Amino acid sequence: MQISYEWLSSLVDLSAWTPQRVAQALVQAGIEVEDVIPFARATRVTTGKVLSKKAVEGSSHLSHVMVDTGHHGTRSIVCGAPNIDVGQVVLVALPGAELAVGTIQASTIRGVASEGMVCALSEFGIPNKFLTKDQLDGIEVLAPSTPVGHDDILRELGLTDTILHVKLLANRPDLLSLENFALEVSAVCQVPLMPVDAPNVNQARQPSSMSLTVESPHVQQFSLQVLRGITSIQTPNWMKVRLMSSGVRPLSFFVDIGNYMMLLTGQPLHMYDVKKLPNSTLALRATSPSSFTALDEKTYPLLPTDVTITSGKDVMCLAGVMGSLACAVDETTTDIAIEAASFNPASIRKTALRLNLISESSQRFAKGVSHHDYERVLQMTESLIASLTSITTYEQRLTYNVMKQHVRTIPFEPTRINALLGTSFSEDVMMSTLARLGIRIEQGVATIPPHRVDMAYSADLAEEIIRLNGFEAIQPTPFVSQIRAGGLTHEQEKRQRIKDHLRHLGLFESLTYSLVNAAEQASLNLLSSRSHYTIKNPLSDERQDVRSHGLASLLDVALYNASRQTYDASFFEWGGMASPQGNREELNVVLMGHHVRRAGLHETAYSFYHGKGLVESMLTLLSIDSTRTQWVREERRPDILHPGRSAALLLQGEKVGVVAELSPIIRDKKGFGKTPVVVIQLEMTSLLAVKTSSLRLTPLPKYPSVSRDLAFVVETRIPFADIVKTIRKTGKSHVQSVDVFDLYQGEHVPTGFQSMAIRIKLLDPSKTLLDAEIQALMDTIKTQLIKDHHVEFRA
Amino acid sequence: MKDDLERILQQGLRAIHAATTPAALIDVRNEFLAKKSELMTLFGRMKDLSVEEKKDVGQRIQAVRDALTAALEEKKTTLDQLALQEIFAKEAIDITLPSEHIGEKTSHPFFLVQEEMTNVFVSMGYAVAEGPEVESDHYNFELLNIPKDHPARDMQDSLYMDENMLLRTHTSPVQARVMEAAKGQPVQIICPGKVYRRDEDDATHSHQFGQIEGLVIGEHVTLGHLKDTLLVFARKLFGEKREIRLRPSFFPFTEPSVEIDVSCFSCSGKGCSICKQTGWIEILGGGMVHPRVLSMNGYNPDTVSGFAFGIGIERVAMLRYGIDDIRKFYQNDVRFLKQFNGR
Repeated sequence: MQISYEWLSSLVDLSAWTPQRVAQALVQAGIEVEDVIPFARATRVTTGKVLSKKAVEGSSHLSHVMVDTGHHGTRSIVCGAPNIDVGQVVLVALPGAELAVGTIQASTIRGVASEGMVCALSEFGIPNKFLTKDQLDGIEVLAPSTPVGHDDILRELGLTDTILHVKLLANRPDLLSLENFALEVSAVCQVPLMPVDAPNVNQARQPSSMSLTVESPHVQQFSLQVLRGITSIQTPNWMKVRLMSSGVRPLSFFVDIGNYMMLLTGQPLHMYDVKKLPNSTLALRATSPSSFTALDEKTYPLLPTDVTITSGKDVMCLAGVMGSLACAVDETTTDIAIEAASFNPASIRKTALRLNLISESSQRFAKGVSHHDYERVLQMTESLIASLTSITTYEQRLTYNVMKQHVRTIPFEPTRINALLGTSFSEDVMMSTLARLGIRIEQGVATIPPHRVDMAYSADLAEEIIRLNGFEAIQPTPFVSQIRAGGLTHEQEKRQRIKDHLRHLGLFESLTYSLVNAAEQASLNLLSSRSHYTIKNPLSDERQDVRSHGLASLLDVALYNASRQTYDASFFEWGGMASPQGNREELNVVLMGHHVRRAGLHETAYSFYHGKGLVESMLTLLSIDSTRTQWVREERRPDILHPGRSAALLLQGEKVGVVAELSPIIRDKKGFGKTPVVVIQLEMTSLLAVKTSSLRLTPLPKYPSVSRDLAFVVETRIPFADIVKTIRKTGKSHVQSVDVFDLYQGEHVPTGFQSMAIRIKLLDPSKTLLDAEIQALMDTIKTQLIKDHHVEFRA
Repeated sequence: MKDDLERILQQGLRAIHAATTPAALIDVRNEFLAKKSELMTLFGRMKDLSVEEKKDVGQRIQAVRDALTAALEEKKTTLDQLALQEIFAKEAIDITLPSEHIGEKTSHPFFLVQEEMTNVFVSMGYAVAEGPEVESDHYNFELLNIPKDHPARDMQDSLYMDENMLLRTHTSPVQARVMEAAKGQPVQIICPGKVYRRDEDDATHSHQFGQIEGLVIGEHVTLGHLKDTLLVFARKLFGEKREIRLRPSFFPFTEPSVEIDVSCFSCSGKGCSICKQTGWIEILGGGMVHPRVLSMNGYNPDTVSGFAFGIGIERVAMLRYGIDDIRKFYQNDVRFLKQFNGR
């Protein structure tokens, strides 16, 4: 929002203030002023008369003019404007002038002395939207009667205003009215208001020639004033300047009057050319016709719920949004009907958004027009027109009103206000602060001015008091906790522990977007797949679904890095995954390339076993005993996985995770080339929820253990785990551990077989094992291995 | 016999001196000190001597034996030392070659800042509350005093699944859920998490970003408590010399509402590019919980009060580390992330 400082100064006494100081004071009071800039940026500008003009030699467009600038002398100036001509009175920037386009200096152009610049208004930084085509194409030509050497010409042209760029908070739509803004400035700066003088037009009124029919439930209030026999005139310059300073382009007399009153009072007005209306009834019906041709000459489809103002069969106005071309006011208009209304803000907002017709009026209606004195607005408008031109006939106003005009009050409780703020303001300070805003306190009750729609509670009074007195009045007070215990929950602690573990191992924690294209990611999920949410109003196809799994995003992260020459890196992401089937936490890991121990010297290509090891280390962190989990071949084997190198992790029989190497085909297709890629996907909600018993120490063995090695040839299809199972089953509690220390396939070993060397550690907690006992135990184990797995022992 | 002993001693010492390897030394020991060596056979020849002579000769032989044994031991030590030196020399390495990488802690700036801020509040006794990212209109808006068609909804263009479900636009719905579950009891929580807005991504806007919001409800809670809490927070996070400044603002769920500026940690308030020459950095929003929010969530605003605040995670990280583009948090470029190693 743009505030004209000069216009504002006509409503509140700012004689002792500067725009910058007002802006600072407003910011401290919660009104954000983003910028304070002059409407026209120009110094050392005077007027001059063009005495002669000739072409500059060797240039197709430059002219050499002599300009009489009065007491600044006759100056030689080189000018590029096509419209400059002898006899014109023009704006001349003297050397040293600071303009929006830069500093002007005396110079020599193509051998011709140039002692200043003949100016166009655009060179002062005046927005193009306020300039005509002629003004944009050439220099500004002043009235021939303008004296030369007139140093105060900018003031005379009304170009000395300063603009405050204000960003309003959503709870203060009342400040869209300059009158209310002036009241706020008066309260903040503690300076007196100077109310607008709007004398009542004391004219005999004829009965209204029109009638109103209101059926729409969205109409809260509707007033209509008909004025006839108006002599149309040019909008006076002072009004044009105020409109432009407020960011509004002057158009024509009636439109400008409407905009001017809207800026001043906050109430959007709509004007109908009475003579163009099909009949004398304006109707606001419960349902609307199906289409409407607006002022912009476009036709818009309507819904029955849109609020329209019709005359006969045709729509004359889409309420609060835009008028019809059919009854638009123009230079020939003499009889007008002025509408001051308010509608259900939500209804206007919906219509304006749907048709993408966001006008100044529709925005104001959508935020809620806070002016409740429509009679006054119409009277001020009438009075303004009367002061500028002549009106022959005044009709009586037509009014429809279902708004409840109750006075809003809030109990005034000084103790409560101080208790909320942590302050010790006296009752007097509170009352005088509120009085500055027009809030009256009588018998413990605060009466709120109607435009302050944001105020309803004691806390609102507290806010007004503290923002006008400054937050320095609040003493920082240490807060003493009133809850029993804070801190992290067990699950939160476990999550933190795992994340820290992975970070310490050097995996890069990643953060990716939850919004994805689910169809593109469907094949890149290893856990039982869940349905996903789809966004109704997505920003793009890429971000149209809420992901229910996260591995695909993390693979993209790995790929992003691989395509930037980082081939050896591992990543993890822990994230909440939403799905119509419920929310879950998922941990995804991608191990890419090599586990680099010594760059170039000691690098191990990531394999399935790295992934498995990482998962086991996490299970240890979670104190989940290995007896509760089980690794099995991944039966589902999605295409993306290497079928021989993928496993599912079962937690008490339920699949909670997958570790796998990516299939070489997918690696190629995704762009990893020959870089090995291992993926892990874990369903953490279940893993975090596992109840673990507290630690009880196992006594250390009193007797020594012994190790015995076995070497045998066995079919490769027999899993190591099965061999261990047999050994444990046979050796019972004596078996402490079984480790494999050599595996071999190749020469001397038949295809489909491998040679395996294992070390068995035996222990009896109650005594030292004798050689004979050990031998007997080993013999039974060997016999059982032959029986169960057909192993063939080697010497 | 005397001469023999002297000769054996001299021969032995020469042989020991001449030995250059542990093996040669063992040969010398065998030659001069083994059972069948000349010296040892001399013991055998003593049987014909008188008792006195036996004693005298025995001592002499023993002296030669001791001398040779000592010389052998000395020489062995010298040779062992030499052998060890040789091994050390052979095993010497270039200590400037790259090390075996044991591991190096990584950090993502988003989580770094999120966890640091969380820890500050946890140390102040706060609990950490979490909630769903796909949220109902009821918790995301209604219970926070943002009814349908409220102009405040314009501030947050949201991503909807249907009429009633959306991606949460702030972490405040978690507060509503906590209040509902607390059934009128005091609350002291922070809610860290991801939130979503319908914003096109660019250097300073992201449709997804992180937030930490705090909520305290109890008896006699004042704006002074909020001011102190955030002062402590600002100093823990940005340094003990920081000051804070409150300015009025508007949020639908707090009244009064404030913006909280922290004195610039880079220039200490003198004015620099980080604080845009103002000396202050706008970092937090907050205020006293709106009476309507209290009553809608099961509290009596006449007897309890509360404060709430919120802070953007990426914003803090961007300011602190000089990150110029919010999209960098989501690219996870190793060259970017590595710079945070060890943090």
